Amino acid sequence: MNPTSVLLLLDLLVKVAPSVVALVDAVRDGHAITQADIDAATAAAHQAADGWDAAAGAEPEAPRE
Amino acid sequence: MELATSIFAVVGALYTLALAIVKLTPTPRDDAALAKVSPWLQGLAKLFGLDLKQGIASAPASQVKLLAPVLLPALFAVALVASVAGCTTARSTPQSQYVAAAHTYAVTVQALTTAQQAGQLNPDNLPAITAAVHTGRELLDAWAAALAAGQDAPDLAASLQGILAQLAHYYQATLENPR
Repeated sequence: MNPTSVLLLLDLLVKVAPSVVALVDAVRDGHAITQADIDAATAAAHQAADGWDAAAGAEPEAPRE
Repeated sequence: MELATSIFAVVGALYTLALAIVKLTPTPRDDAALAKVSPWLQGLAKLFGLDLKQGIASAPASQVKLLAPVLLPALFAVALVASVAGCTTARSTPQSQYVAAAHTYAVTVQALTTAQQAGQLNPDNLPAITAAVHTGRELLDAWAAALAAGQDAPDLAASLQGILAQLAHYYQATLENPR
């Protein structure tokens, strides 16, 4: 495995770890979802979309009003 | 059964991550490691009445990469039922479905981003993937706004389900035809 692959792999793990943990919490029976959970999920989705735009060289979406 | 499908949302996300790791590492060792995981997936699926015997473990090692794209959409399909369409279940609330869907979207897009950074995606697919990523984000924003207004949004959830399936399709295409 070359250094670039190692870095990409670590980057991916660091980025998705919070989402995977939150996903487990979201589907866990009895876990009460708070507004903070919803905001964090929205932020994770936005961060992922922004990351895609940067990687694909796409024009980032204008923030919604 | 609702909880079972919810569990598959997590399994689907983890499996996507495992596949990304396998595709990023050129050694056959981790491919073999992923093949060892599949009996666990099969056992879990069997517990909830799903038969994944056609998946990785029963196949020769040489077919693992060919069968993985088949298993991935299957897991995604179940995951999406849980994270998007199961809003009416007793255990899960619209809020928990939104959170699960948003994180499933985030993990899927992150995996695609990493594949793009590794140069594994077909450039011809980039505009369509970008459009799907943007549409998914807009749907999530609209869904969050509906929840904030105290409304459920099954139509938005269904549309997001289609977008996530589309993103999974592009990930599947990457696995079938890596560059």
